[in-house]
Amino acid sequence: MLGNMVDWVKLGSDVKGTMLSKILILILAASIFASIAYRPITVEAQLPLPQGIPRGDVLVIENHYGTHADPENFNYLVPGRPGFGASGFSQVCAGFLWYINTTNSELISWLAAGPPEYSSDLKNMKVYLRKGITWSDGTQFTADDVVHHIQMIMRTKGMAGNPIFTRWVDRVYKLDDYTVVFELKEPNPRFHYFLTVIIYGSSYQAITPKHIWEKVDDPLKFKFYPPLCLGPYILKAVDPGGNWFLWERNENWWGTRLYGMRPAPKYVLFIHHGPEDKKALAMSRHELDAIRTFLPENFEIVWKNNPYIGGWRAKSPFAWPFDPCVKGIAFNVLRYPYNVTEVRLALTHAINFKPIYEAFKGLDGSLPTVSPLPVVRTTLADELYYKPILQDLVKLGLDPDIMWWKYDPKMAESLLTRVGFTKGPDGKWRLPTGEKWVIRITAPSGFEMESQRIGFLVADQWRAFGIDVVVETVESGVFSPRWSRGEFEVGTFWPGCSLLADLTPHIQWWHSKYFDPAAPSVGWANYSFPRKTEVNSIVDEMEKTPPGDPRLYEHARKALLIWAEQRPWAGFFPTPFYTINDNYVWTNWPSYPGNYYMDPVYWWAQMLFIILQLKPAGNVPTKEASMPGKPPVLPPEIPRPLTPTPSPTTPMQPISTVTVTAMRTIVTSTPIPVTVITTAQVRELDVTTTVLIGVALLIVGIGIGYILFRFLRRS
Amino acid sequence: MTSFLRYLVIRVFYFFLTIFTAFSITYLLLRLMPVNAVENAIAQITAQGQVYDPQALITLRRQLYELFGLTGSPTDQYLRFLRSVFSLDFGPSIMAFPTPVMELIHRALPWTIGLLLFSVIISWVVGNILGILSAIREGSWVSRILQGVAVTLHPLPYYVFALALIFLFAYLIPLFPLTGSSVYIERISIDVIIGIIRNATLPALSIIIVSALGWWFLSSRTLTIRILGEDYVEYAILRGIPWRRIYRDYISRNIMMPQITALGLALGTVFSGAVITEALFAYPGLGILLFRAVSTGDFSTALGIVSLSIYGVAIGTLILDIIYPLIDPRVRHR
Repeated sequence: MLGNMVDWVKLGSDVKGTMLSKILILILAASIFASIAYRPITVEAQLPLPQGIPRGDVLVIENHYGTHADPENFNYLVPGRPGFGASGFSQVCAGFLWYINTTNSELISWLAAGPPEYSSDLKNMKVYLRKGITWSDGTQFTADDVVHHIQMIMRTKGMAGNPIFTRWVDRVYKLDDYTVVFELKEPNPRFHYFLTVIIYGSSYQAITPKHIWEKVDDPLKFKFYPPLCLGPYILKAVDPGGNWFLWERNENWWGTRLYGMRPAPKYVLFIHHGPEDKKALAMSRHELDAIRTFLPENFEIVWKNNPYIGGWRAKSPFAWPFDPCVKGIAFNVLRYPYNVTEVRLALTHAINFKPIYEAFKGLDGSLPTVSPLPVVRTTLADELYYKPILQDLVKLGLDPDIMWWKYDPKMAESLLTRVGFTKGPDGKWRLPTGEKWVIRITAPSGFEMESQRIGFLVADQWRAFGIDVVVETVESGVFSPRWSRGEFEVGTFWPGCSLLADLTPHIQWWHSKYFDPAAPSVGWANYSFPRKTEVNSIVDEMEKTPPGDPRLYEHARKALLIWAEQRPWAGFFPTPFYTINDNYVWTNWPSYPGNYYMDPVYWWAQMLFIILQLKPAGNVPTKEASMPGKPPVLPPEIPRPLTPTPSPTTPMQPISTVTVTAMRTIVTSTPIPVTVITTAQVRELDVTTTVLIGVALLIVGIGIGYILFRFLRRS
Repeated sequence: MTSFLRYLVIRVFYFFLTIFTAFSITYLLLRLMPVNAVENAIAQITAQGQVYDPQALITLRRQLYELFGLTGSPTDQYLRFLRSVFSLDFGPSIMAFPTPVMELIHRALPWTIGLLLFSVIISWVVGNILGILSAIREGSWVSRILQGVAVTLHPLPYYVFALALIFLFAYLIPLFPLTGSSVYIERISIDVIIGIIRNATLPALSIIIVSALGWWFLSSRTLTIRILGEDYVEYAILRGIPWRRIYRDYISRNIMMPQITALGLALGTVFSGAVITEALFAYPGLGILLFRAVSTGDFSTALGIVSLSIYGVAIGTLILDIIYPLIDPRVRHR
């Protein structure tokens, strides 16, 4: 072959029809130009959809986990299985008893007919289920499913949720097909939190179908594929490569039949595009409707190229300021010298908070929510926790103007010298032993880049104060075990998160009874200081107090003040989350303050409530998209016993058991007006850019042709 | 014949020695890494802020160590590992527990082979042809242009080129999809096949163009120029032997020897995937699987993939060692 090619090259000058080759080159160049000129900016061109499905029927959400190694495994009860909220399972397929509304901490009863009922000794919890709910195969959802689900988890060691339910549940059984009773081993007024979607959602909270799982020999090996759903969608297709999951609307969904709810998108596609830059490109091209978060640089790309975006607000500033986890600097309080309170306080007061705050101000004006306590300073938290103890915090060193700890290098110096630290002739701080003090900050790399940036910013400040600082950035695989095992001095991560007004589940780990020597982490649970016993007592009290009881807030304030005195970590703020949505294809996203029905939590299970309220925007063709049905507000349907009417002739029998005797559930079956928006498929021509590119390519094509022609002639 | 048998036996012995050494070093390296699968699994729960009973978390940690089989002395684990590499049964993966490691590899392998195998072969063929032609037309415009392009592309990291391709042909002029597996497959059809090819085009181009116009072009051009200057070639030209025969019998065989060796080694590394290419294009191959396995502490999956790569390179080298005497009479004579 090579020999033939050599002959061809050498004898090229004998090739007749040089005019033909010129014509061929011109045709090639013209073809390139023509294909570029007719460049449709349709938005459905690049998505993995069945033939004939228009973009307007599909809601496209980011698969934030990435490529799933085994995408056909929907058994999220296997511990450590990632992607629960990334494949769409938790948002559109799973069924949960309760959710928390992130905007106001209210309990939403979903599969449950109402809030749980606790016995007076808080050792029994009764759950009423809604009637008429069906699985996607038409089987009735009943108490049998809930009981089987809990019992299966309890008997399968290693299953997600097993440690929780085996610790708390003595027995679980049904009273009837729609009533489940949990008998607890110890009083727990908030046991139902373990079955409530609060932050993100846990896999063991998604009830499994008994009629499927009871036939399984080893629940850990069962793939549950395709999954059966209680949600409004069923699985249509899965990418064998693990990048996308396509869900199709269930036209027989119980939510439609019983309550008139109906999601507008016919399909929901959870897709992974690759690195964040590509997601930004996808959103710029309207190929992505919702994303968990962007780094500010990538947000800028979308902001400049897509005028239809929204976020926490419909217009800038877009960032969600209330991510539940306060980022900052955490000290390992079990390691010297960070186990010395004065050292931690000194390091805090050596930080000039303002430049760090400014560094996280977004181009769109988004500002972080300053949260010096381990509670995100939402409006509610401000009323419950910050304002009532503000004066005490000021006495502890809080600057009320910036709502963070005072920048006071002199105070920091005096605190350090008090405990034996000295400054050498080189201006660097030395430990009481005389050796130079070097702080090692462990920061994440490749993930949580905001926390990494905090690390570098703080390091600069401490260096200016006179301390040598080394920032070590490590990948998640290394960071997680180091963080967990307490193999760090100072770390930039968050020791805890908070969302509920009831802080008990968020701070109970502060109690020394929960300290795990195998995983000490920041060590706060085992840190010994004079008021430690008081913290333990406060947590004990909070655990016994039911949610909603005002005493809880007083207990929490006391605990927070003790925390502030000790300051085991210096939280700055939840870094602004650019949870962006695109209004080009779908509209009616939640936005503060005008349409604030949910926070923009697209990767949490609460995304269901957003999907159920989206509307087609009318900018792209649709076929089976519709207007949404009724809002997802379900009435409580807890059965009440009938009051017996006394008969004049028959003495009234005393009621010895409370049973469900009558329940009126008003179900309205209203035909859903389906508005099919028919717009002609418009292929837009971006004339200017296309012409310029076409001309450039034409010139290049002619140039290549000319060069080849000359080459052949010389040969 | 006896000498060839002796040669073969020695080569096979070295093959097994190489495999054993490579596996052992791989095992040690992975085990020494400060990554822990259990802590990663628990971090997934706690980092998201999920409400979890603190006491239950302590129990969960212990349970996960047992469940993932991360118990036993280092010697036991090493012997288990040796058994697994020779039986190709690496047990369940950890990051997709309890899906077997081989199932994950089988799922990712076709993507990797489809991309890298064809990319490597195409870039080898194109690069060698262009290199030889450029050497023949030394001094011409085309040769100079190709040289310039090659010298520019050779040091360029292929992922930089990949980003440019993505921006140009997946965003600005959307001829290709942004995602690497953007094909809806209901049944195999021409459209699906075209879709798969479309999906693979940009990742392949990013590898082909940089490799073909980089290393393969430069190496084949250099070799051709060197051989063209040899006395025996000059003598053949003076004797009036046709160019076709000169290239076939005098030049190409001498060029192909080192190039085929390099091709064999390059093909062997196909099994480790191309991590950055796959990450950039969201291409679900072995590279991204290996990256995830290492970063989550899933040693079983990581060892499984690396073992494939070791086998690939070792077997490729063995095959080359065996066929060399058949091709190169100098080796045969030795």
